[in-house]
Amino acid sequence: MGLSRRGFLALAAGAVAGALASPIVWKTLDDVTIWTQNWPWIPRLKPGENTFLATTTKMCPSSAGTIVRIVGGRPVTIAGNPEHPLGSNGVTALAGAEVQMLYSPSRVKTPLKRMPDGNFQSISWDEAITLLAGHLKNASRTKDSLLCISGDQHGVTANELLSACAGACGSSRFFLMPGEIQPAARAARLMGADAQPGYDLEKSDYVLMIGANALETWGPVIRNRRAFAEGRPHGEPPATTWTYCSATQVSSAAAVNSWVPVAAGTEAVFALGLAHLLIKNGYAANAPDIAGFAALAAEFPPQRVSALTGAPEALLRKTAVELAASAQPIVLAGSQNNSGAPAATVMAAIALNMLLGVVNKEGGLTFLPWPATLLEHALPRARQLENDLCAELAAIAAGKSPTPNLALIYDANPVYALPDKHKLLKAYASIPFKACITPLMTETAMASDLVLPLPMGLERLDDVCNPYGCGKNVYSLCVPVLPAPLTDARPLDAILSATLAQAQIALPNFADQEAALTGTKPFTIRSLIAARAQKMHAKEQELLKGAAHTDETLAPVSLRFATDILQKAIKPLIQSAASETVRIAPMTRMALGTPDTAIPPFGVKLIRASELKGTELFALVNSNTAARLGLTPGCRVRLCADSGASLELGVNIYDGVMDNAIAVPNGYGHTAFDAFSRGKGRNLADLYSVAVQEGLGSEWKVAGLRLERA
Amino acid sequence: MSDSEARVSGKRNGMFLSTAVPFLVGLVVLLGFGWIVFPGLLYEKKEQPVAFSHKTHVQDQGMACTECHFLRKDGSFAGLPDIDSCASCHAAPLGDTEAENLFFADYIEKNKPVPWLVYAKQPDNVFFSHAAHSEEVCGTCHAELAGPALCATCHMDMQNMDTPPVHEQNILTAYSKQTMKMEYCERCHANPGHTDGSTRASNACFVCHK
Repeated sequence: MGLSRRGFLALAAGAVAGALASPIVWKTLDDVTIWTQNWPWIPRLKPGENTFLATTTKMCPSSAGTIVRIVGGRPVTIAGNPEHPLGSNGVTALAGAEVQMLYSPSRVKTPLKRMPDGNFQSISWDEAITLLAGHLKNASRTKDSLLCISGDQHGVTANELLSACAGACGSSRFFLMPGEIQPAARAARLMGADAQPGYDLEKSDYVLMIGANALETWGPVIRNRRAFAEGRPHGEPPATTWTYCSATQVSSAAAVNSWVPVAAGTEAVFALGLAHLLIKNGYAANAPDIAGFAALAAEFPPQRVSALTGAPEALLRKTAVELAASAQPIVLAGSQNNSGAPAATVMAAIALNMLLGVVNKEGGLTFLPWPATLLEHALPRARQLENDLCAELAAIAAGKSPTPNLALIYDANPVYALPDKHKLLKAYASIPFKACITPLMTETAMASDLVLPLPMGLERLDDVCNPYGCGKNVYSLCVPVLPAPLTDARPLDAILSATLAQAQIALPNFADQEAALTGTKPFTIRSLIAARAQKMHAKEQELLKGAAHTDETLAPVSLRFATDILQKAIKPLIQSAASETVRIAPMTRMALGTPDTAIPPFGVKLIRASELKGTELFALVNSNTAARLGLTPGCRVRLCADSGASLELGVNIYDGVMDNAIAVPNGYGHTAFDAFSRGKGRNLADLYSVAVQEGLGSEWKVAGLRLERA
Repeated sequence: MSDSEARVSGKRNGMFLSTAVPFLVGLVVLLGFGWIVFPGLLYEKKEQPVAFSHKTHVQDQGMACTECHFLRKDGSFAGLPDIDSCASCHAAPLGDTEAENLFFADYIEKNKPVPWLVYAKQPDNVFFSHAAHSEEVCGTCHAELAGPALCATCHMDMQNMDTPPVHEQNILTAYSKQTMKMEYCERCHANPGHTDGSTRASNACFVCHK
C-alpha cells in the first residue's frame, strides 16, 4: 500500500507536532544561542588568586605609584597607590592603560633588521647583538661618533647605563628628549643653583601656574591633583587657591579658582609684569642684582603686559594682590606641549618665587640635590640635562657638529616628537646607522635600521628619581609584575652588556671605589639600584615592594636674578609677542598618551567630536577670533609658519580659547602604532621650528603664523 | 443505511485511517526520537582522565569538601585542586589501586596538571560566588545544608560516588549536561523567601551577570 499525498502530509504534520512536543527544536534553539557566545576569538576569563603588587608607572609621565591587580599570575587592572608620595587613589588614563598596552598590536616582538628592500626582517638576538656591536666598535674608533637619545625623563639608572656606554665608546653625546626639566635646570643654573628645581605644592596655599598645566600634564600630575584635592576638601571652604594662566581653558583651568588668559610664548612677560607689581608693593629679595631686576621688571607695567600677553590688566593686578596676600605662595612655569617652556619663562617664575621669599621654604620653590653618578664614564644628571638634543641636531644640520656614525635611541620617539622636521629630522636621517631600543613600533623604530624589543614598564625593573615637579626627593622602583616579558624583549642592561662585550669594549665599572669593592657586577640595573639605595640609605627590599624612598634634604642655593641673561632671553619673546597677530596654543591631554605610547586604549573614548572627526583634526578658536578672521565652524584652514611648515585643519568654535589664539590639540598625526592612532589628525610638532639662543638652549616656536583658507 | 451512505461512510473511514495513521506514526516517531534518541546525539560522553573516587576521600579518609575545593584568602573560589595540592598527600602512591598508580605515573611524577572535565562550568558572563553560597549564609536558615549536603544542592552528590560520573558534553555548547541552568538559580533567587533575612538573594540581573 503506497502513501497517498494526504497520508504524506499527515505524516509530516505528525512529525512536526512530535518534534515540537519534544526537545529537538527548543533545546537546539537554546543551545545554538549559547553556541553563538563561544566563538574562539572571544577572550576567556582566566580565574585565579587575586594578588596586588605595588609599583611605579614608567609609561606615564606622572610617575605615579600604582597597584597592579594580578589574577592567577596575569595583570588585569591598575589602580592608584595612595601610600606613594606621587600617587593617590586615582591614576591617569595613560597609567590606567598600562596593563592593556602589554598586549598592544604595536609591540615589537623580536629584533628586527632593515633589509635592502626597506622592509624589516625578524632576526635572532645573537644576530642583532653582533650587528649592533659591529657598529658600536666602529663608532668607538672616532670620538663622539655615537649619539644616544633617551626618552627616560624621570629615571636615573637607564640614563646612567646609556651615558656610561656612550662614554666607554668615547662619546659624550648623550641626550634626553626635550621636556620641562631641561629649561628648568638651565634656568636654575643660570641663576646660581646647581640643583633641580622642585615645587612643594602640598604645603602651599596659593599656586600660580603660568603655562604649567599641572592638573593634566605638567610634572607628577597625580601628586599635583592630590595636593589640589587635599587643599580643597569636599564640603569645606577651599584652604588653597589655584590660578592658571594659559591661552586655553584646558583641564587645569576647569578646576582652579581663576583662569587668566595669557598667549602661549608670552608667559615670561606676564611673570615680569607680576614681578613689577610686587616690587612696587615693596617686595624684594636678598640677591645682589635686585636693583637690575627691578629695573627690568619696571619695563613691564600692566598696560604693556596686557598688550603683549593678551591678559586683562585687572586680572594681572588681581593675581599680584592674591600672591601678596598669601602666606605660602608658589609660582610654576611650563609649556603647553610638554616640550619645555623657554628658559626665560622659568627664570621669570623663579624670580617671582625669590621676590615672594619662598625659595627652599615649606610650600615654596625647593632645590633638590642631583642624584649621585654611580658609573664611570656616565654623565652626571646635571650634565645630561645641559645637553640639548634640538640644538645638537640643528648644529649637525648646519654642519657645525659632525654627523655621528651611530645613533642609539632608547625608549624615545624623536621622529614624531621633534619639531623642525625639515631641518632636525634631515640631520637625524643623515646618521648612517640607527638602532632603536623600544617596546612599541614607533615612528622612530620604523625609521631605524635595527629595532630591539624592550620590555614594557610592567615587565622590567627600572626606576624613577625626582621626577620634575616634585618638591622633595623621591626614589621609587618600577618592578616587573610578570615573570617574563610577553615578547622576546630584553632589558637595557642585558642588551648593552652583550653588545659591549661583543665589541670588546670594557664594561664601565662603579665610579665609586667603595661600591666597586662590593664585588657585584656594576653594569646591571639591579646592582645600580642596590648601590643607589645604599647611597640614599633607602631599604632596597622595601623599594622592591613598591614603597618609595623620600628625603627632604634640600640643596643650599644662593640665587641671583641673572638680569643680564634674562634681559637677553626675553628680547625675542617680546619681539615675537609684538609682531604676531595670531598665535598657536597647544592643547595637551594625558589621555592622548605621549609620543612613545600614542593614544592609549582608554584615551580613544575621550576624544571629542569637536577635535577629531574621522581623520580630520580641528583647531579651536573663540567667536571673536573667528569673526575677525572670517572663520566659520567646519571650514578648513591651512596654518603656515615662516619656516615653511604648514598644517591643514578644520575649524571649530570654542569660547574657552582666548582672543587671537588658535588652539590645536596635541598628540595626533601618528604614522606608526595601531589603527586607533595611525593617520588620525595631524602632528602639531610639524608646525614648530626651533630657535637656539647661546647659553639658553633651544626654544620651540611657530614664527610668523598665518592662516590661509584650504 | 443505503449503499450510497455506506460508500460515503466507508470513504470517510478510509480517509480517517489514511490520515490519522500517518499522523500518529509521524508524531510517535518524532516524539520518540526527540525524547529518547536526540539527547543521546546531543551529548558526547567523556570519561574523566583519572578515575577519582570522592567516596574514598570523603567517606573513607574523612576529608571535607573544602580541603580541596576551598575559598582563597581573597574570597575567590579555588575550584579544582592543582597538581601540587594532590601531591601534598600523594607524593608517593598511598594505596595499590590501578587508578592511583596511573594518576601517580601520568600526573604526579610528571608534575602535569590533570585536565579534569568540569561538570559545573558556567559561562564567563555568570558570576557565581561560592563565598555568598557558603554554610555561613545558607546554613543560617537551612540547618540541613551542612558540608557535602550543601555542595550537593547544586553539584551532583559526589561524596557517594566511587567513580566519576560520565561527563556528558553538549556538542553545540561544549558545556556539561550537569551544568546548572538559570531556572535552577531562580528556585532561590526568585523565591520571595530569599529576598529578605540573612540571604537577601536579589534576583536583579547584575547580581549574577557581570
